[in-house]
Amino acid sequence: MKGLLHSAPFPLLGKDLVEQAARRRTYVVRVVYAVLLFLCFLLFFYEMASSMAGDIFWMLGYGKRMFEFLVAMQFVGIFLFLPAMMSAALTYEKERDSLSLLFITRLRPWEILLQKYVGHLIPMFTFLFLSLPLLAICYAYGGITTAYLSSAVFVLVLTCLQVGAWALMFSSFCSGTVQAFVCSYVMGVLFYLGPAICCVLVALFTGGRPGGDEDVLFALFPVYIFVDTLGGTLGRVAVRSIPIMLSTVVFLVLARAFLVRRAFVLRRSVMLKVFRWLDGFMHRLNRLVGGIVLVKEPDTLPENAPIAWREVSKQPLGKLSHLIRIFLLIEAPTVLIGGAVVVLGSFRGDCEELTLLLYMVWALAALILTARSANAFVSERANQTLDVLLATPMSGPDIILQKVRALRQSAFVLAVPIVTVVLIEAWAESWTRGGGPPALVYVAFSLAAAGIFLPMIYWVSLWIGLRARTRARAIITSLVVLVSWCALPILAAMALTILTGVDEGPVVYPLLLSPVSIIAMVEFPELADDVLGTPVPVLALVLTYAWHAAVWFLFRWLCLENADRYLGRIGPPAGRRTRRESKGLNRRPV
Amino acid sequence: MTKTDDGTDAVVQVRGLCYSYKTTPALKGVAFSVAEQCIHGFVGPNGAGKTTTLKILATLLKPQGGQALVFGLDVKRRYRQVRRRIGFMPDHSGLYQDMTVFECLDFFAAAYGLRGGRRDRAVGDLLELTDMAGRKDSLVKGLSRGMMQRLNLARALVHDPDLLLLDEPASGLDPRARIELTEILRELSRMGKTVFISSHILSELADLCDSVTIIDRGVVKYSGSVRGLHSLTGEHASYVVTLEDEHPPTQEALEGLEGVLSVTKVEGQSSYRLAFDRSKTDTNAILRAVLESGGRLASFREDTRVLSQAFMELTEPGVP
Repeated sequence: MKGLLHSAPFPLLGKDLVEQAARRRTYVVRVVYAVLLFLCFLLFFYEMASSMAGDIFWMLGYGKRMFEFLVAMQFVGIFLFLPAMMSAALTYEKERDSLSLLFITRLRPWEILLQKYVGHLIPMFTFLFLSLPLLAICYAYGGITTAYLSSAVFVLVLTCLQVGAWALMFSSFCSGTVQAFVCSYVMGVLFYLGPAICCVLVALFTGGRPGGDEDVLFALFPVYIFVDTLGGTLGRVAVRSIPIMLSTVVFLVLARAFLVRRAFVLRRSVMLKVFRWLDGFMHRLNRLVGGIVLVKEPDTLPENAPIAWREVSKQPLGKLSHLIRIFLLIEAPTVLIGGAVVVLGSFRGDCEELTLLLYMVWALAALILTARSANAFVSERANQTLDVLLATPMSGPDIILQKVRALRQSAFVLAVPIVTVVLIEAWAESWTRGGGPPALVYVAFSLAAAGIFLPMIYWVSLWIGLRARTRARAIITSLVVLVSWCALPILAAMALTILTGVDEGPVVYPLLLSPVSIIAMVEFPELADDVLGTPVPVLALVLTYAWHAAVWFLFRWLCLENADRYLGRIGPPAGRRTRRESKGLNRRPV
Repeated sequence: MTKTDDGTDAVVQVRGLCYSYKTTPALKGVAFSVAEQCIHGFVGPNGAGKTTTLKILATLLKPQGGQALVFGLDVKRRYRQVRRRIGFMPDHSGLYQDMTVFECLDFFAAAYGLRGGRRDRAVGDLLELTDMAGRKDSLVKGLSRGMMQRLNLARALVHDPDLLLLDEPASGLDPRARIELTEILRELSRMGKTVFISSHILSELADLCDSVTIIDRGVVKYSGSVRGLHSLTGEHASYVVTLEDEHPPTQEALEGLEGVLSVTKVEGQSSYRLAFDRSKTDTNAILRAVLESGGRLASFREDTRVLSQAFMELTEPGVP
């Protein structure tokens, strides 16, 4: 490896590979990937063997099914892991101010870009190679033709190239890793599924069935190409993959265009920029109607809580006017779509799309809160403002609680659209039933979910942010924890179902640990009936809520009890803090 | 309050202080004391342990060994009281860029629990002291480095602390801003504050400080008065005499003086660098000789090159 580093043709590639090899994270991620892949394959294999009464000879010829499962897992792996790895490729250099140094070397922009591209694709290919032993098992069971195998490998490699180029483009465009990371995923979902979502929305509003040619809608989606050309020759797959290849080239060209133009772009909050532009626009518009001011921004100085004052009067998402804008930005489409679904759905007798809308507003609220709270203290560290704050006599819990005030305000604003959808759904249900009181139990449980899950999310993320040293690590870790929290219990329940062959009762109780499945159970009580075996799962839900509330209070306690240690200053040992101090009430004038 | 070696009250008393970052030792038994109402320089090359010591005194790092007392209070146990009596200025800006100068000072005044009229008075006085009153509505991010440092100093003074801990406040400042900062520090010293200031350039602090501690690789190499530092280079003192204009008889007069070891003319200037034996003559005799020879004295100061020489001898070469 060192030879490669010092060899002339690819110095940047060599440096990246050596750096990655020296990082512990590389091996941790690889082990996690391998464990997940092998575990899922094992469960699939076990389920298959169970369905064939454990007779291994009956399974001969079923290698193709196993192989398809394996390829599906690899697709999931690529979409989950590659954007995270590639999005830091260039932003890492920008954050260290080393990109400018690369520009003054003999390396040309294209060389920098391609060496970075290859340097971050190689680890992904090593992930794909991890499945070779499993591939051998699939092949041994038979049913896989050489053409099928080669076309699968071809599509997987092509997916890596496309997703890699996509993430590299954002890495080249964005000023920071976190921005590039979020853009890669969010825009990725829109890129692949956007056309299909548009078709569904159009169908929803026109009252028809989703239309559009699937070959066109999913022309850039490798998974669709793979599924659509099952059993086809490599040549056919290659022809169908031309749009994917072209899109890869386009992304690389765009990445090259952004590389120099946006190399020295200042790190600014995009949201703040948008709001500034919006402020200017609104002021100009307001002049036409005589300068009406509905909400006056308080122009005061800090009273007794300076950190809380700064959070709500100086931070981009803390200002009252900004919060109102975010609220309107989410609330207006929520009410519009919710109303349309109710009106159009009433003709069909159901409003199931409202559940999808509810999940969307929940996901948005969770994402914004996670990012904000994880960033709350790590941004102070990054801007080097924490030390002077810590040298003041304010107690650690006081500093944290003042920060949390702004988070609470955001959580409240983000909870309103959730409550709106819940109320619309409750009202729609009572309406479709032909009158009668709205589903009070449903409303109560949904409100409780918002009241418990949102504070839990910001306290957990705050705890992660307090312990992390960099912004990227804090936000990415918080998002990973959030996603794992939602997904792992569901996966565990699925695994237990497969292993035991039972799909109700205690086996599926892990579902109660995931906020996603709890919201689903509140939405569809019949689901709770199926999985829990009880028609009114009130007690189970109450216990689940109590568990989540306990998690919230545990993380709150952890943050406040270890506040000084996490913040990085001398403080009382754990458990030795007075009650007044823990509540942030020990502020006395100097 | 504890006492220093010469019996005066010690504002800072450090004994056997140890601190390591994982396996890398930063402080290895550091010991020194700072007398009340003096300006104490804390000098050392990069990586010597200056910032670590300052962070311990500012109650940001917990000492892993030894003791650090501020006003007789152990920073490990009485950190709350210590925080009330110190003003800390880190080696980086530490200011919120999105605030105005006034908001920034008001913010930190609130953080120190100052209320109402007392807060307004404190902020107003500091704006005057640091000559920032005219810029009170300017955003912090729009200030120059020199103004930023003045604001930072004002921030550290907002609660009227008795001890100021300044980590390399002059680094990155232009000569004018350096002089202005030095003037403010002298003024603060006159107001009865104790100033503990770190730097990696000894000669920069020589004129300002009453006492100095030199640290290198986590070990204190010297702690005492600046004058005492000269004796480290031997019994010989070194001064620079600058005249208004060239006057050869002055050189002759100085060479003829008993105890004077060498007189060298500084190339292209009307200055003479002279070394003399302290036991045989003193600065009064030298000044008298200059005046009696008819030379018009422009300045007479200690040669900071000697301090640099002492610093080089005390510290080891290379980066730790």
